[in-house]
Amino acid sequence: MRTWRHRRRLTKGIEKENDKDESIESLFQQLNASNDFNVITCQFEKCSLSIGYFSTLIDSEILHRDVLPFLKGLDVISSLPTLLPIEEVILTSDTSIIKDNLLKGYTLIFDVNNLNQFGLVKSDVDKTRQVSLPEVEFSVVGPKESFVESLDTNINLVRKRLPIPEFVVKELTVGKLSKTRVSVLYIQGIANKENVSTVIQRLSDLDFDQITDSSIITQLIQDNQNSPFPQLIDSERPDRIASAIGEGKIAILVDGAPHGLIGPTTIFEFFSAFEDYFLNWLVASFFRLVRFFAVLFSILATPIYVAVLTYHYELIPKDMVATLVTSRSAIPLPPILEALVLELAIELLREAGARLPTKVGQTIGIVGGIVIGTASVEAGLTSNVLLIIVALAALASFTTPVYQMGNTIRLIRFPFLLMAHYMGFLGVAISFCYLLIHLLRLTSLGRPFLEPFYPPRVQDFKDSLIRLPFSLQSKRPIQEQTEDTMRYSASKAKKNVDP
Amino acid sequence: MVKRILQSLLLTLLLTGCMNIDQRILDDIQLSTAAGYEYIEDDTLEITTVFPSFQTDKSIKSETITDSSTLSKEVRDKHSLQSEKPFVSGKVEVTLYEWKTAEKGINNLLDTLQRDPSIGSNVFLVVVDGSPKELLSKQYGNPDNGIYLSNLIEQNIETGLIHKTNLHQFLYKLYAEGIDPALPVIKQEDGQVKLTAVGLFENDKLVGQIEEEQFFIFKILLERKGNKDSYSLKLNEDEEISIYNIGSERKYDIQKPLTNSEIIINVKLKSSILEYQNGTLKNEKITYLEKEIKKLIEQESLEMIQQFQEKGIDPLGIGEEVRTRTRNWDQKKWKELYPDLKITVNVEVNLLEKGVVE
Repeated sequence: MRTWRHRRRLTKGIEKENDKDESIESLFQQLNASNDFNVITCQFEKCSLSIGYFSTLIDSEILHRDVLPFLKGLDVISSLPTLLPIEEVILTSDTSIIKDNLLKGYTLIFDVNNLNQFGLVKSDVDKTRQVSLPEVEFSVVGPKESFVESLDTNINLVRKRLPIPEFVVKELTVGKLSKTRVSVLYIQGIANKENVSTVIQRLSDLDFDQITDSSIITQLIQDNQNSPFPQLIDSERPDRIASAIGEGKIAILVDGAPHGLIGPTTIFEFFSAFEDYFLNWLVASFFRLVRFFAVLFSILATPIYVAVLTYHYELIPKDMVATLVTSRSAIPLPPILEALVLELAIELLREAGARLPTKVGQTIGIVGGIVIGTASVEAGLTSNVLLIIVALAALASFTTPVYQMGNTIRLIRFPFLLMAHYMGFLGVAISFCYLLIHLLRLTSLGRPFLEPFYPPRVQDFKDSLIRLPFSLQSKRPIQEQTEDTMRYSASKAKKNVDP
Repeated sequence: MVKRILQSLLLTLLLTGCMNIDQRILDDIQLSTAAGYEYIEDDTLEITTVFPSFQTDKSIKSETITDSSTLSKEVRDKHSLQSEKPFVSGKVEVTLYEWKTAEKGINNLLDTLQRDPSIGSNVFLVVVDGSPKELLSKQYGNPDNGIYLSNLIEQNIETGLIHKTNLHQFLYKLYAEGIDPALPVIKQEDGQVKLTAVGLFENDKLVGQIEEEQFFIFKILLERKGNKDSYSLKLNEDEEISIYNIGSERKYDIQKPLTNSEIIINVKLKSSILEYQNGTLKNEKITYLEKEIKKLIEQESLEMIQQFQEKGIDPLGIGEEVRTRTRNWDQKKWKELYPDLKITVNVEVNLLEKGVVE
């Protein structure tokens, strides 16, 4: 809380400076510094009009087709809304409104002889890409729409799925330079009011210059900013956002970001893919358990290898001793260095693959995976057993459906590895304790992050490690503390079953 | 916050001062997999240790090293003096005791196995008929001798040929009142190791053995529930039969515990016929066979128990059965009662299957 208040104090000083009452002349002077700002003055029968706009922000077709031909008959600016075939026309005399809207792609129209009233006509160019397939959270079954960079399109995608009046979109502007539009989406009567006001308060208290993506918002408003774990889910699927809102969660959409944020959430939700809801509950539960196993494997496999080979040779099954010893007999490095070398090699591969264009990235994968892997085993730098373990662990870390969480999993492997070398299983256990304590202390918008394990809420297990059938999901999760706890009436549903 | 994290991190790092953990990297240690004990003089112990030597072509050579001393851990130091890597005992799978050494008592030799935390309680203890040094110095299979012997015994326990035995079982039977331990006996014959008998102990001293033919009887009497063992009987001159134990159940019937009243051991044996040498099996014949088998098993059981009673040992744990039914258990009184106790065995044979072809 301390940091919040501190930031607020800082912003006040800067805001005062900006709030100076500007005259229209000084505004024009400021804007004229840019070459793409144009002002044209035309002499008409009844008055002489000036038209100002940013040529890079407006659609000149709208200007020529829908604005200029109609201006001939204009006598006073106040009749602009009735004259133009464009819906959004603002009449104002406030310089700051004029400035903001000019920068959003409005065209300014005013009478040179009457500087008391200005008309602003929406004529912005729509240069967003088409709604396309989800790439990060692709699913074989289910909707194939994903968010784009335009906030309005994104809200449209969500609202289409929630056509009820209770669905609320609250818009705020964040960012001193970027003036980013940020929307908070929730359903009144379901979402907990405290959660809603937490989100809105945190967003409106934000003072940051540029918000270029939703991930910046996550980092700025999440409960513990020093945690490697993300505390808000990042999703590019409008269907996932809509269903989360229906569950009583709150979503944040940011203009310019093709991802939405969902909160409050739990750690288990990061390992559930939205496709889980499209599959039969048995299949979905199995896949979820596989994913949790993959996470544990990814974190623990290499540290356990290092711990066993460095300290606990007693634990190796008698039939495996020979395999392990012969695979390591020619290797000059101790297990920890061997493991670090391989782990770092895999991280390098991933990093190189992520920074390069797709086609080159594939080559990197082949070069790295096959050439470096085999060569290092043949050269006697790493044992082939470890190569298998590290490769599997890396593969397992990619099964996490939320990208940000996958990165976290890869990071926390390293402290485990070092502690395993330092103290063996004791070190692994200590690291695990630290991790657990950290997770126990984490919250997401003030709600416990490790729910339903802590606090233990048996009811919420229905959609955490496993996903039970929808017939058992009549209640919304306790985690969200929703105002309306029932998704549907279970007793009514039972009555309506065919005999 | 940062301060507290630093404090707690520092705490765990300082904690290592309280720990006694040494790095023992797998390929920098000499894993001993078996140890053979033999008294060469009154208190001088000769210990033969087996360790695998991993060859570059992935085969394993079984090597041994022999030293003598009065304390077994001292031998380990002597071993290390002539080895390129330090010896560790955490992967010892089998310990072998020479016959005479076992007769002298092996409790002293077990001390180090119990005390060393790196040695598990599933180590197999075996009595060797012959010299352990000679037995261990030959290689029998691709794995080294320790693992070979351990597999040999484990396999026979799993398929039900001999009773369950390991360090834990041995120690339990050694310290429990009313039961005596028994260990498998192995022998080297023509370059092969063979499980020949079960050695019977009185406390920690070897006093006798039961032969291979009696394993089946010993097992069904010893284990409360057993299965998976086969047994061949000679009913008369030209009638031989081999049966397979599908499931046996042993129940004690003790009317008045800790008195000289009769103790009845009831055994229900469900089995199938594996081999029969004399003609086809009709239903009447099966009833006849059931009766004959019952007679034979009862007779052999009684002989075995009498043998135990004469020696004053109780590997079947009859005393333990009595102890669980007695309020004031008195071991001395039991020891006096045991040799003259009337013990009868009641076997109920049920031949459930007679095979596919008929």
